[in-house]
Amino acid sequence: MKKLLTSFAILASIMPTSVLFAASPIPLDKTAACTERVNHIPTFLTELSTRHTNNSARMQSGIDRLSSFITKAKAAGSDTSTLEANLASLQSYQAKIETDHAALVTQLTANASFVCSEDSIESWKSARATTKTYFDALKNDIEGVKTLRTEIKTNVQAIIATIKT
Amino acid sequence: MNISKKTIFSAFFVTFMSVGAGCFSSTNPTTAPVTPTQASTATPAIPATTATTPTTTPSNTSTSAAVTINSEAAQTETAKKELQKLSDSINEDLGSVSAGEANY
Repeated sequence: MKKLLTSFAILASIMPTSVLFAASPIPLDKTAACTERVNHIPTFLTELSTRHTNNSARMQSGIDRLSSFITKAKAAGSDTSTLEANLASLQSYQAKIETDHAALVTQLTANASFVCSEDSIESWKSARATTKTYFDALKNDIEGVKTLRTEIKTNVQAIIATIKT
Repeated sequence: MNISKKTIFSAFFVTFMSVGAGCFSSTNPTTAPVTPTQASTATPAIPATTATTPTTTPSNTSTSAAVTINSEAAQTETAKKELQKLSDSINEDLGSVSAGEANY
């Protein structure tokens, strides 16, 4: 018996955990994982809300400053048509972020009351996949803003360079 | 020269008569009758103001132009700096927009 236990201990130390516990009841793990995620949703929603508030404020600030830049550059005789197009794109992203954020919050709020069980695992998977599409949409919006930021930076610098002192 | 009193008298008489005939003539004067002058209602002309002699202040044109150019350059420099600040702020604003992690 002692030998058997020693062999098992040796085997356990050299084998990956997943292989070792491959025979454990998978639905139970999935249910536990589901519960863990559901319980974390309120915290995530709070984080998401804070981030969204900050993002909205920064976006609005960026839009206001870009508008101000355009007005001043125009007054200095610069051609601001490209920047005006950038500003319109930025405003579109601002509106899209609002929509996508709201959709994500709605989905997460629904997920927060999900009851995890062996029977509802598939339904949970589906709910997570839907949530991911909303989150990906929001991420894409943010990526779009980042790309636009680089474009705006280039266009703004080009205008500043044309102003001779 | 021997001029008799009679001659002198005659000459005096003739002269006196000719002058007197002119002065006391009854013929109308040929000059046009003078009409009474009407009181003028016209506004009396404002006497022209005395032209003032322009005071010429000595000016150095080249210095003035240089000051203007310097002033414009300073203004443009300020505007440029302001635009650069705005550019930095826009970059910072948009750079801090973050999606975060999908940790749900």
